[in-house]
Amino acid sequence: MFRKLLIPVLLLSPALSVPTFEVSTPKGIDFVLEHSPTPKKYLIETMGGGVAFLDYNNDGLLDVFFVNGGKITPAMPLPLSFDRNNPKYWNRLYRQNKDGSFTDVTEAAGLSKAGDGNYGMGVAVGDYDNDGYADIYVTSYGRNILYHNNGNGTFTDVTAKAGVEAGGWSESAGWVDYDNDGHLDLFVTRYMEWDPAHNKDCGGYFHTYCPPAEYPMTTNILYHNNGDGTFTDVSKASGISKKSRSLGVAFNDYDNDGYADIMVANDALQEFLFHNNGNGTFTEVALDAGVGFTDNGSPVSGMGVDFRDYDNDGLADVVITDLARQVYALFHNDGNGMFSYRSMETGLGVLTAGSSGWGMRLEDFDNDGWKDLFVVQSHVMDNVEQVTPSIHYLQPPLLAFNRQGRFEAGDPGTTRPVAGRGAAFGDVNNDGWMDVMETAFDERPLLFKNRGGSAHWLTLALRGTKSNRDGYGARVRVNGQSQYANAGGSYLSSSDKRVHFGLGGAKTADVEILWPSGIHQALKGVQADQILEVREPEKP
Amino acid sequence: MIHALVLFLAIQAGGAQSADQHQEAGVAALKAGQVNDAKAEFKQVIELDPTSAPAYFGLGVAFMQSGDYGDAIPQLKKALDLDPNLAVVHKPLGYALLGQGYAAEAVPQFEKAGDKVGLGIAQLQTGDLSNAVENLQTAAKSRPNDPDLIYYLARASGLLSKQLYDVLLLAHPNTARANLAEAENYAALRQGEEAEAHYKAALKQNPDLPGAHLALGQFYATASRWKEAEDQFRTATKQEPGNAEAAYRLGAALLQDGNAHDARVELERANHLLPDMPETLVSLGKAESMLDNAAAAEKAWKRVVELEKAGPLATQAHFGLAAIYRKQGKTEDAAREMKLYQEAKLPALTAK
Repeated sequence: MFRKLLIPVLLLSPALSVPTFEVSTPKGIDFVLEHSPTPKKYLIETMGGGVAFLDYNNDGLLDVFFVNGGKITPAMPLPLSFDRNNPKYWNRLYRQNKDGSFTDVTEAAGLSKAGDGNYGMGVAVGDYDNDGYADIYVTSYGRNILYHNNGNGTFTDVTAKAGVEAGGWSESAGWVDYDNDGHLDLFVTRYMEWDPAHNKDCGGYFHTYCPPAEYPMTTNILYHNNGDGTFTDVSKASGISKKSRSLGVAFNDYDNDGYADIMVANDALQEFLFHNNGNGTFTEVALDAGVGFTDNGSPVSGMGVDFRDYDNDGLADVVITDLARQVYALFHNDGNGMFSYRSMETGLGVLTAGSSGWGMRLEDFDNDGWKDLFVVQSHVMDNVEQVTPSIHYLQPPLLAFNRQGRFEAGDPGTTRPVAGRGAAFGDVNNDGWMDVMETAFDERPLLFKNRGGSAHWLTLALRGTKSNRDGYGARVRVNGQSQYANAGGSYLSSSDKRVHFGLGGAKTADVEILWPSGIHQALKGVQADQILEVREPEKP
Repeated sequence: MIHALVLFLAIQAGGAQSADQHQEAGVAALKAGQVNDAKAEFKQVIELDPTSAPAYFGLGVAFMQSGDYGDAIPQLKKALDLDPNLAVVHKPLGYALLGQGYAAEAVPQFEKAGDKVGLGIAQLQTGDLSNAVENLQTAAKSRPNDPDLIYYLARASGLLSKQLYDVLLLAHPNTARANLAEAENYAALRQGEEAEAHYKAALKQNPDLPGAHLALGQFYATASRWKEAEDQFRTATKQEPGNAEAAYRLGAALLQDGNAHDARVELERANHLLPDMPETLVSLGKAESMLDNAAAAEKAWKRVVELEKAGPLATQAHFGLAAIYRKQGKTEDAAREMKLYQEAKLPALTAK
């Protein structure tokens, strides 16, 4: 039914200016992503770098949280420490000040130590207890940590009580209310069975990181939120415990049945699409749906993933980033539960054949009404040039503008190559133009501040009442475009939870929201160029 | 080979009674694989009849059977001295000499024996590469699955190719062809910048240099520089409109850019010029699929799986067919193709 309500994407000005980006590390941010590369080529060294945009103190300004790696030495003596009590290896929370600068509040917020034995990976942000404050879940090689936001600028480690430690090697995680009970559940991807004692040395003379197939697969985890601050591991009961080597996860309702589906990016294996059966269980349907492999029947080295509608047909499509010599995989949602591989038709083939991508998102950066693609890039092997000189370890990001369904190269504001990993997306200065925070190894983070242009926009801050407070899972239509409210996707990262639309030349917008509760909300003639808080009606 | 020699020795047995008996016993011991007994028996024959060529031959074969090529050589040579018409000696003597590194000396033995394999290997080792390639190619026709033979043929061909490139570079430096050769050498060594520079230098010297645009296009395609590859392949197809490979490669590059319509034109042309190349048909199926011509895609891919039962092209075709059938709601056909896809994929996975 939702699709039938769609109106064509129109009112887009034919001559909108293309925005430019100012690229720098914001004042006050001194975080450096420490990954500790060693000659032993421990695989965890090259996989971390999560970052989150969140407004932890509800002052209307996006703050930023960085996940750090840890200290690794070639010997890696047991028990593993990673020296996480050393400030150099802390995760960091920076509060944004009114002037756009940031202040390090890590220690004051109680986030200064990530615990010995935990090498940090990713972050997922969501208000799991519906108290109106953003909570933080940090994934690690080791023990994951859930930080409850106390609402006074501090956080408390509630992992033990919540029962969401996971263990092993966790990668991307995301909050999703899969059973529409109004409480955010937690999906955690895990990469493989690995430990330093069983690390392998590959590449012969060159000593490279080993391909994933050298290590055993493992399972992902789905935690059901019991609504009382505790969670239950429902991985097996829900049907998501199929073994894999997973790195990325994104959520959307690809068949518009009102239940969140889960797209998992797997490394050099078939991808997973978990269709939500609406009864607390999932069925993995990637092969039948056509998102398991490329059109060659080949797997890609799936790393980052997004699950959004790039062509404004009201159906969630899939983009997966991978390694050079593959191309980023774009699967178009054809409806009826089927997808088609369209990397070539959309121009991504030519744009990405030499690239290796991690954090990414389909987002409208030029506010023309079409979601563009931004990817932070770098090869996984720091010595890849020795093995394949035409492939590069350090790479600048990719910005590809979406011109009515075909992607064209844009200027992200820098050509400086870095070892990009995490990427969070959000409107840092509330000007209606989407910005990007990139993490890169041994570097300070880079903020790609969008200088904006002439097009109009609308940002919706959803506030669930019957649904979960963040409104995650709400399907939002604005002037023929669709968005799915969720901060997840990308790689190891969490983005601005607000829902952003470019309106092109349109000065008003018609908004429709289908809340996870099933409540339908329509707002007509909404003025453009504003951040509008939308509260879920108490009744349909 | 040993069985034939043993039989020969048995037939050749003659002379005094006791020598005959020893000769027969030596042959029997060789047959039974009792090499030391055989040696002892043949030595007895030689003691009784120092002019017995078959006895020296038998002793030489026994040494060869125990891997003592150095000891075999004088025995085999002595057999030939005593009986120059004993033709069966040439082949083992050739291999004994080859085994000891005397390749030049082995050549006439193989020539007399008419053994193309041994001759080709000996010629390879003496640097007579063109004759080595010719003889090994002839031998390979009757033994196409012999890994040793394939190896020596590949090595001889590679060395001959290098030798000719060296001649080209030394005798005709700074020519367009020399630059092209340099470019291909660098490309093989994965030294991309140098390779590209030499390709461009070759084309600057001779913009119509046959094969150069196709080679540069392949270089770009390998580096995933598809737009540049497309330009080169387009020039190559204009230069050689009858070249099926150029048409195929242009079609494949156009597919990478999502230009399915133009890709189909080129791929159909390639298929017309050189019908039933599985690579062309796989890409043609993709182009048709991208253009939503399911029937044409199905036809192309079905032809692929008729031509190829396993391997990456068959895998792609089965996977494409499964996708077509799924979208058409033909679930049984889709399931069958997915099963065949898995089966076609298995040999590749096993090999890995």
